[in-house]
Amino acid sequence: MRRISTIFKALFLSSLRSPVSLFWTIIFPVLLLAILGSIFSNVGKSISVKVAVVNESSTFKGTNMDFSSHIVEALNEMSKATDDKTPLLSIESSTTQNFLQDSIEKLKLGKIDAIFVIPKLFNTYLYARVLHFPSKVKSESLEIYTRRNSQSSNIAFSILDSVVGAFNNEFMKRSGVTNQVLLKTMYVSMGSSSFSYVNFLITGIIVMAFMTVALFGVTDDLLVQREKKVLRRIFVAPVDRGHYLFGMTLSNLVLEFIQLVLILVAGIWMGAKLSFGPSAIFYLLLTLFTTMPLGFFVASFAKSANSGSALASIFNFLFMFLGGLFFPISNVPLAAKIVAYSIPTTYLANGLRASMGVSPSPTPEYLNVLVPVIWAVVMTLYSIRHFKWEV
Amino acid sequence: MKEAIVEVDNLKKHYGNVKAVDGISFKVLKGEVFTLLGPNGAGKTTTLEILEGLKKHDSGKITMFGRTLRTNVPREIRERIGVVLQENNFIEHLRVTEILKMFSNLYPAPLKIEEIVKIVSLQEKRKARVEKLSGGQRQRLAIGTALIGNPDLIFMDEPTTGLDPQARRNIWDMIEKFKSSGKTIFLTTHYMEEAEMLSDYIYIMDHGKIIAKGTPQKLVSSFGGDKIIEARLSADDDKILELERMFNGVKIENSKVTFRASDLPKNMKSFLDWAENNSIEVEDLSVRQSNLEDVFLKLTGRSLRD
Repeated sequence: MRRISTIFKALFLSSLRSPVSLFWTIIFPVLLLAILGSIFSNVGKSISVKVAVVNESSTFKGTNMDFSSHIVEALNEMSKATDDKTPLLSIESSTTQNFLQDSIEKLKLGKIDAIFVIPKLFNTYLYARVLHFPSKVKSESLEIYTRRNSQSSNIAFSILDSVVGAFNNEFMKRSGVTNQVLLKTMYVSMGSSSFSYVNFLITGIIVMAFMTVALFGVTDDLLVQREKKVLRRIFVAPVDRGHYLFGMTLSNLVLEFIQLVLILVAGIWMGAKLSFGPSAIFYLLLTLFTTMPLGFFVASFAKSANSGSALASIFNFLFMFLGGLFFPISNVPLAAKIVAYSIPTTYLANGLRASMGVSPSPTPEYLNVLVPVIWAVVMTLYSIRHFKWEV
Repeated sequence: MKEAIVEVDNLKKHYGNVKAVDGISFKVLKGEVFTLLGPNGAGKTTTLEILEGLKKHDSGKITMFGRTLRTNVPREIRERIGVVLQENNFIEHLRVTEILKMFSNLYPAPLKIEEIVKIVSLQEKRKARVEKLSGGQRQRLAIGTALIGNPDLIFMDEPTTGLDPQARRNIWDMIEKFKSSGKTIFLTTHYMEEAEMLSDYIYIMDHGKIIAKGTPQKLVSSFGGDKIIEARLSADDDKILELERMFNGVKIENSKVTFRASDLPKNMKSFLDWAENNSIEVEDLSVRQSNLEDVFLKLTGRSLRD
């Protein structure tokens, strides 16, 4: 343990004092977060909200007393594009209970932002109000299903609320009805907040930062030190390769921890809201340990520090951009998508985002764990077999 | 009889058809400076790296501190040896004392860092980062890292190569101090003066084989006690080549001629007569004792620096 801690201290101190290492491992991820965050922080805000309208109202259909159809019509009007502007709402509507159940599932997954339910006896209730038969008819409220702490759900709620408000003002008051139509809000829990680019970005940056340290920190600790013959100087002392590997890994892990703290501080300062449950901690650790063999893997290919650095850059760009760390990859071409769904960072980012409540994972949870673990095991085994401590 | 700390028997290391080490045997006795002397590519470093555990040998037997080494050098043995490699680089951005502290933590009974800083005369550079050190200072730090574990045996692979004369002299002084403190030193060098000045025992190595061994005095005297005549001649090379037929061990380098004189008065007279008869001007004429360089030349027909 003394030997491991000695190697750890030496490598860690060296990294902390290296301006290049400091910039790329500590400053760059925070800078990138700040730059991308400030440029693209409006992503998602201009997207129109998706609402499922469930019109269960079945009375007075086809008559002037079909009040529910007026509301649906108003919503449909809002979902039409005018003057080439993105419509405020995107509507899916139906009348069945099955549709409501499906919509609730969609809402939980973040695929829609709200559900607007017009109850079965809505028209009857309003007609009774207009005719001033309050005591005889059971009260029927409109229902809105939304997600808590979801920005897009909040927007959808505001729109629906304003539509109901307008209905109350324009129709009910004119009809002399004092008891207005009430809105009942139902919250759907999905453990996830609304789409926020900063939240999306910060989780991607965390994966990127861990990967960068693994790729460049580890290849530096192995290839540069091997090339400069530092490793052979260390190994003629009473130190085994295992001591060096553990010390090196520890040094990079501590660097990654510092990165994580700085990224989180910067992210929170930029307004990020992330949840830190056991699942999030699990994915952070999974990301730490499954990206670490990347550097060792690259080092086992490279014959020199320069070729190692070039190879690490290729891996870095590939895993960074196709892993969907900065932007969603749902719209990339098929060929890129195939690569994207073969690399571990895609799954790590998906898992981390889902676990931190950023967005639901488009990939199954078991794959989010399995794919990075398979990569890590294969890379570790390959590296153990092929890495040359001496050149 | 001194105790043998290292015993090597019929050691071999081949790289394809190249016989880097070709069946060499030797003993390193406690408290002595043992030197492998030979030109570049003779197999000295390969031998040393096998003993340090950096390379595996193909065959042969190695015993160190009474233990037979097989594929690698166990940690218990590495705790008792110090190593100065040919290239001495360190983890960058660390200070001199931090490097020494790092190595000190690897050994069970290290010496004090300040003591080592003083021994290697780096007091003024103790806070300097390693990348700011000169070649000589870096080499002294390397020696410091080799000494920090208070080793019984120190391997030094060409410790003065590339250093200026003053830095080289400093290293020699250090080696002499280690020797006087009872340390055993295993040195490789291609500098004849270095081997001659520092060594108790020398093995001359060439093409992977030991071609001569003995104390410096014995090696030189085995040469027959010949004197060496050196002179600078103002003549064509073709003319100078005539000397090869007249004397033994003739070496011609530009216009400088060196040859052995087994009978000094007679050989000197013949040489001067030849110069006079051919109207050749003789400059910088000198006579000196033969040395290890001459021994190597005699044995291989080549210079140590070839």
